[in-house]
Amino acid sequence: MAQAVVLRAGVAITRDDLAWRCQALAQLLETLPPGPIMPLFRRGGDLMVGLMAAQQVGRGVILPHDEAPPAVRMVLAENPQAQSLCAPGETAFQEFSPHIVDMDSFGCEGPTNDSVWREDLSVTLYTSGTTGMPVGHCHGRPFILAAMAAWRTAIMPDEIATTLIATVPGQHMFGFESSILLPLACPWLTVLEGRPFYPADIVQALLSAPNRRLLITTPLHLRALLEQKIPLPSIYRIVTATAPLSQELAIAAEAACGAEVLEVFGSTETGMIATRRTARDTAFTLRSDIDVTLSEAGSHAGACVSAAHLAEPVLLQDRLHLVPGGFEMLGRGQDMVKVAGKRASLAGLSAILSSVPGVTDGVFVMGKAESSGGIARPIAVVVSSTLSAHDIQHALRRKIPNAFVPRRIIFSDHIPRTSLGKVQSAALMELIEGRAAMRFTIPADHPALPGHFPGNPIVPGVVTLDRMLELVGISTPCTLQSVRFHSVLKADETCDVTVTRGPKQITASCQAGARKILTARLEVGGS
Amino acid sequence: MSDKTPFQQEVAELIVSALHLEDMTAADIGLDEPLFGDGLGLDSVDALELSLEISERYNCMIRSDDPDIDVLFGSLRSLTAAIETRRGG
Repeated sequence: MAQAVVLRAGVAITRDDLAWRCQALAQLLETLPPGPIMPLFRRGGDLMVGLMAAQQVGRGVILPHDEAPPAVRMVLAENPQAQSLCAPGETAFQEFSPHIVDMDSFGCEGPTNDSVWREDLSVTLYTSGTTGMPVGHCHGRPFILAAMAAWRTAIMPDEIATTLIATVPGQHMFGFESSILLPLACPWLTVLEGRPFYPADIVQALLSAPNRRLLITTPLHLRALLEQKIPLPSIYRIVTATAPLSQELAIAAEAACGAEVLEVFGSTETGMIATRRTARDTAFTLRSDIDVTLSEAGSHAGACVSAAHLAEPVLLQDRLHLVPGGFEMLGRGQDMVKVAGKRASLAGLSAILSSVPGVTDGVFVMGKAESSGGIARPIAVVVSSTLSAHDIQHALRRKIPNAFVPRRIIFSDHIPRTSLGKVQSAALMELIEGRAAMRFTIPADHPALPGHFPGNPIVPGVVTLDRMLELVGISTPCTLQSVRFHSVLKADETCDVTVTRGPKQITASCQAGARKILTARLEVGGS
Repeated sequence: MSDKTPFQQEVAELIVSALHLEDMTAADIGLDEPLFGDGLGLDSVDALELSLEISERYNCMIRSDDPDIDVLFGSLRSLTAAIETRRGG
């Protein structure tokens, strides 16, 4: 029996099945108005068919960076000629009037001819862009063939039957190369369709794999999988990308399931360029058909990637240290940030923030991860006399990917800039850290809490006042003139302290979010 | 906003603390406000994080092939209802 390329809910889809569907779809595509094809299929097998059929009829393929309607809308606006396709029942895509394709209704009989990659093959993958507008990166036949060969060599060098489980979508470069191209390159590889997301889903998918397991995932999913402490079956290899993988996590994952954990280094512009076994190696091993050189362009030292299959050399925003056969990653360029696999430029985000009506000035900085293995999110410092944090978040959500919408917005009366308008980063960090120091939380196990309102711990006002004055740091003798309690503070709620110091009077107040908790006035010197 | 049950209040606090929602308190999370997308603005990273916290605290495993996953994470009201019917089960 022929080896399945895709396992869909236990049903094997063979190479012949794919070829039949491809022929049927190609016939349908011939009847559509001219333009590239945008396959909005969620099932990996359908995406494979969409890719092969489109190229068979000489049409380019466009893959938006995200399946969410706002991303699709922006990519369609860039490509008004694009013909979008989707499966029946996809109500989320209705607004794009897609051509509905029911692949399950396609007949599977008759002769097939092996599909060949045409000379004019073109696949355009989008990234979310650094200025709010998505950017397309077009790749031709040489790129696709080179990617298939490189993934096969690096990830699936032997020819033993293996089941591939991917937690990432197929329209993103990492998911496209790993879960669409690699199976097409390796007849002994079967994709278990469906994209498991939560740890319990991933474990169930792994358990249902009929063969040796290959898991394509991200450090975030991997960390969640290990933290959940569900026993894992043995895994042959785990391949991660989209965010740096820590050595601790790689070692823990290898110990938990016996897998070799491989980290892929790549980008939408270049595809995979190098891999490393993170538990053991610090250096990435470069793909043999790719060349990396360091270049100095102005004040930005960058790494330049070139290869015969790339239309032009690509300048990476990452800082690399070259070693024989590969490189070590030193960090990203100062301006580039990455959250949940999406890249953005802080300068680009800041420009968008400053353009929000009501924002006088604004700047984005990258925060620190709240926990090891957790993700870092950007912080915004804003000058505005009219907007609340919610107003700003709401306005930004329409313009930038959700991952970059700041969770923390710090209001300030100015942003420290040089006379040329450049942000003074040291002063800005001081401002942010100063604010961080002026916030406190009274934990539920604070000794003053038991006995007060059992089951719904409320912080006694005097505890809040005491902690606030401690943070304000009253050094001169003062007299407490008045205290007003505006609302109750609960245990574990975060309080921000603001203080105005006059020559004779100090006013300190604290609030939990937008809710005022208390205001205290102190007279300096006092009696 | 004081119309939350103690359990809804507890889950709202869990959301705020687990996801490090700066500048937000449990009181800011409306019972029927969408948690993801344009409501509270949470994303898939948060969904993963939140599922871990929920399974740890309430012994209630979240899976995406749950037929009602969109409903489940739709709002604070639906999330707490789902946890209550599944917890410790």
